Amino acid sequence: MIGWLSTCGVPGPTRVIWVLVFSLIYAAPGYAQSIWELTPYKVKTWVVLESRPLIPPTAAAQLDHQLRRSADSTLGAVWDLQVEEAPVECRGDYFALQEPAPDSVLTQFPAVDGFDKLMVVVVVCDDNGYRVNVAELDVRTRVWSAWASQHVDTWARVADVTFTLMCETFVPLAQIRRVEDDQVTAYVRAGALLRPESSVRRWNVPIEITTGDILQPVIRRADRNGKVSSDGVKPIQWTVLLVEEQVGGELICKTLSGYKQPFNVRRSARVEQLALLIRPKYDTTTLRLTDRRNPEQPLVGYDIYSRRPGAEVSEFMGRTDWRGLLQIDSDEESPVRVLYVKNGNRLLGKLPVIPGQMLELTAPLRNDDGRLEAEGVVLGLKENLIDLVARREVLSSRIRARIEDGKLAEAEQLLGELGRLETKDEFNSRIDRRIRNSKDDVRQMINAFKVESRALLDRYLDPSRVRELQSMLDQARASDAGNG
Amino acid sequence: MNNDSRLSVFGVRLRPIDARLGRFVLRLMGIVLLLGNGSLWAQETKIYEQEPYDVITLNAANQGRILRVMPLDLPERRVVPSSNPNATLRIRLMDNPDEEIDVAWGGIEKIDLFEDRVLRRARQLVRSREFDDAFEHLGFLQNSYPNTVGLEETVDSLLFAEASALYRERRFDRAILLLNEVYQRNPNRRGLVTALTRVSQALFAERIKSQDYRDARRIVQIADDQYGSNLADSVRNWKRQLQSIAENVLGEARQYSDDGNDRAAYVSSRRAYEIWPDTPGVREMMVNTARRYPILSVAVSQRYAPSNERPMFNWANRRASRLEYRRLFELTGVGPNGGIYECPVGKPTIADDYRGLSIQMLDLGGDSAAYIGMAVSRRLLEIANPERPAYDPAWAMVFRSLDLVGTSDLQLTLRRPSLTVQALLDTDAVSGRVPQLRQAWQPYTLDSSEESPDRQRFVLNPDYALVVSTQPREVIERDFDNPKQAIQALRSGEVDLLDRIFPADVEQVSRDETLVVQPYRIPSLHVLVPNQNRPHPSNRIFRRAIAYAIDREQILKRDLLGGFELSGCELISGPFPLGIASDDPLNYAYNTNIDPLPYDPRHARTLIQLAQIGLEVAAEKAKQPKPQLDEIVVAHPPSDIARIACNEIVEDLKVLGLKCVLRVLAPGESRPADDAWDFLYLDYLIGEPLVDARRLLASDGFAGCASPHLNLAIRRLDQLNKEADAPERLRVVHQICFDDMSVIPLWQIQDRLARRKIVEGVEQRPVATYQDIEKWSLRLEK
Repeated sequence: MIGWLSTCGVPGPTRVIWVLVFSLIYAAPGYAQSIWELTPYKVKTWVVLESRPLIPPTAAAQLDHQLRRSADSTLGAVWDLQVEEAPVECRGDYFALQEPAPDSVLTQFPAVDGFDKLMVVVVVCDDNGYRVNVAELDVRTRVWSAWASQHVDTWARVADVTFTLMCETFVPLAQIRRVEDDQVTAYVRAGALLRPESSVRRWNVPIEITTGDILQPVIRRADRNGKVSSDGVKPIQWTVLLVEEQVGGELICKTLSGYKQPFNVRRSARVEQLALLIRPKYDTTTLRLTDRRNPEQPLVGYDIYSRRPGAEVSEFMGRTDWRGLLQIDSDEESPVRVLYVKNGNRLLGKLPVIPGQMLELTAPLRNDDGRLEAEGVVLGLKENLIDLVARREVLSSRIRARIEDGKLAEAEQLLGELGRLETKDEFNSRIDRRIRNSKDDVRQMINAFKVESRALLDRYLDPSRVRELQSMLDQARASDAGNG
Repeated sequence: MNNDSRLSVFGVRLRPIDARLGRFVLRLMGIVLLLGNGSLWAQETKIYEQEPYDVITLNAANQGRILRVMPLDLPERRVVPSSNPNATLRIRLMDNPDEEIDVAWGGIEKIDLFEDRVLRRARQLVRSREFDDAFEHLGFLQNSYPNTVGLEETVDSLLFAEASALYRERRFDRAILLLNEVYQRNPNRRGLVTALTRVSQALFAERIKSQDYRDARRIVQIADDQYGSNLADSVRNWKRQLQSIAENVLGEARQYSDDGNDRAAYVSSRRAYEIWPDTPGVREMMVNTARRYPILSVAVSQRYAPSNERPMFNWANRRASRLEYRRLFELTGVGPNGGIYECPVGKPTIADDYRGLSIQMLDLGGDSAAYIGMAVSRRLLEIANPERPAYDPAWAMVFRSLDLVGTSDLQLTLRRPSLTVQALLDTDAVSGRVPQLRQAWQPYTLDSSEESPDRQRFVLNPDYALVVSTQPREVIERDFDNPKQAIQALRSGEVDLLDRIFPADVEQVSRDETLVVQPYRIPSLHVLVPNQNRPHPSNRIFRRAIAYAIDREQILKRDLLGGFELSGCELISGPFPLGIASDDPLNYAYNTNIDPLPYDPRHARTLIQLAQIGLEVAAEKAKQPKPQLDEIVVAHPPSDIARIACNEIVEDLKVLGLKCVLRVLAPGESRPADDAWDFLYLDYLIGEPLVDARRLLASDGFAGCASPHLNLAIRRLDQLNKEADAPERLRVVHQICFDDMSVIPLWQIQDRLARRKIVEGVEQRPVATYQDIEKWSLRLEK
């Protein structure tokens, strides 16, 4: 800035004042926002061309020219595009359609760090023409997209197809500015540079974020020197943002998270909260549940339910198999699903996922099997107790009714049945047997049940009730004999 | 005669009459008599259903009055008038039973006893051919007045008359039964022998015409045994006739034999033998042809149809699948250490640490061992592959890798120790993707060109790797309409073996010295499987209600066992076998601390209401319509045990006001293909509880139990490292299954087969019907 002022003829001391003035202006939040939205994406494109006769020697230059022209005419100011041939050192990887680790790219080619996006375009010859492959590295978040690929018949069409693929792989970026409860406000990079919808020059290209889109929030943390290391960029796990409203470059999003407070890191000069558009690439994602204390141990037989955002009812998806896996298919109507992991009656986790975003997703959770086992034992004992109490009460009522009606033989038969039901002591012995045969964690729950049910047992399985009924019957018999 | 005016019983005074009045009086007397007899009102009440009374007719000096009196206390109920006219008979009028009146014998014209009136009525009914009514009257007399004069003759008359009527209607079977009964009662009855001859002849002619020679022979046999010389001529004629027919058929057999058509020769010679066993030369011909082409005929309780379902869940599949294909490991017995398995493709060795299994393939010459090794390897990889239809997760969990060493030594490595690897490999021996190799392990082929509603023909596969020359060349399975017919067919030699005797018939079959009854080693287990996709059966309170609502003890003891005690047939409280005896190694999984739920329909009703409330609350919460229980559909396989049991189960449920319908599965179906059922009667086999528990109970098993507690307990079985822990873990499964009523346990039955002595080589206590059929032979010379 100072150099620029100097070329404008601004005297030395005054330049400093102007720098301060500009800094104040541009540092103010309002102007910082507008910088983000007003600043185009700086996109560096590396072109890798197969050395074949069918690919003209001027291909790189042609592509450079044509791509920039397409970007200009189609996207306007949204992209600041640079195109060049890829460095020789990495061509091998790209020909193999491999994505080098982002950190190694940035280390090897520090200049890339000054860009927002690195697009890699690989053009090779195939049987009937050419194949164009494009992938994108988002430099800020260190995330590679999947390779997009298309066959082209003639060289004349290669540039157009390349540009289309670049738009398809391009992942727009947003900056999170405000977080409130389960709502987030974010602003799209270069959002103010998009042509208005009414514009005749507005093209339908997939570089925007619109209502219904899903974003992956990412925390980007710089060190004191302003450098962002490989550990400095982390997606917020099990959290996605669902765009509910979009006005220009402003996005109002709903937070879907497995955590109560996913955004527990405050924004600061060194911490940036970003959000990246998610485009599912696959038809399914395999969910793998593991024991968080023992990652080698799969969690088998856990129930997975799915609910669409805003829906009231969950749908049962299935159970994890012996490897702890369950396949979740993508859903065009609702790209994001909230998965609920249950074991028995206990909810263990809430996992927002985008089926198709990744091939496999691993979720470490608490191994709940001990509690489930105890739950099963206690449930069985409870139901047995209910049965026993109900049958005793019904039998007792019937016995009394028979005695009152003078049907003493029937009363005696029913009393015999009552006597054959399990007694309090026998039931307690049953509980004790279950305790003895169980592991420690299970024992605790059964013991708790035993304590809870003591009052019930004392009241409803009291042996004196049987004796009372026997006494009633004996009296009735004696009275009958006297009258007879 | 006492002229007391109180004797004006009916208030009718008889007057001197002219002709018209006379007719009126006669009609009136008829009415009076009929009233007295009560038979006019037979259309409302039959005479024997009325209050019994005797009728005394006084003499003319007493105006011929008719007195209805309480049954007279006469010695042996015989009317023996006193010679002393002044001697009296003590009576009590029907209208005034409390008062005793003495009537002088001199004033009595006649006494008509109640039973005599009943007998007269019975005779009228016989004459008017109302046989059922007549039978009722006579039955009443036989029970209550057995000494009625003329009773036995009347019974004979009834039987005879009905037999005649049946003869005219050409219902000879029934006619002969009745005549036979008359013969037993009174062989000298006039006209009986003629009637017997006529009916027997008609019956015999009918059988000959329909070529039912077996029955024709039976008629001859009965006639010969029972009627002695009375039908001697007829019997001689019939025998000659049968022998003549048999000789013709024998001639055909000889022709077939000369032409080299062994099968036809055997079939014809056997047919000739069945027509008339005493035909000269027929026995030798049959024995000789049987040696060249033995055909085993089996009466089956359930028809077979090929199925992809595991044989353990279907009786017919368990039986006949052994004919169609060999499995890699076949359970053939139970020893002190558990199941005994046979590996038909080679010699297996389990590693000491249970982490490996090797199989040395059979060498049948040439490169056979190598081919077998490759085919078996392919199969093992198939069932470990989730992408394949044959995928078995239980196997995939333990299988790590395999190696074919030197092409004939298959080495399997497991991920973890497995105590039950043989039970896990209860699967087809070779992959179906190699048809030629698979064919070598198919002992018999079901001949689908033989379309018959009641029989199926399995033909020995000449390319079968383990074929033995003496084993049956064909197995013909025949199903019968009911168990009695099957037993009859076995006795008569129409079939050689009965795969499953109905339990109530075991006693009587065991007494037949011509037959051998053998128990199966492992009992079948019978449960109701709830449909987890329907709201009510998937509710555990409802399932418990159903368990309380069924009187299992009654059904087992009365309906299935017929009141007999039969070892190995008991109620169960869980999904595992109780075993045959208390020391049966197979019962290690059974939790003996758990008794079966008692029959308590009252409590069941309470639980049903509780369940309905619970379902309605859940439906409201899920904003779904409340589930209504319109009717309960109980599906069952087409076997006699299932049919009878389910009929009784339905009756028990109806007592609770539940509307129920039965649905019969098609042959081969172990479960309905759709969801239109609530409970399924399942008759299955547990060979190895550690493995079969998952196959039956897991959420991806046959019963598809949804209980997470049960599924956890089953998963814990997969993690066993020590054999000693297995019983405890399995008993926990039993307990949870009981608490949850994941399947509603009914009973276990130790099934029995019966065979004729000509069938040799049958295992003493087989696991499957056709176990070791390669060692079977037919010794017709016996």
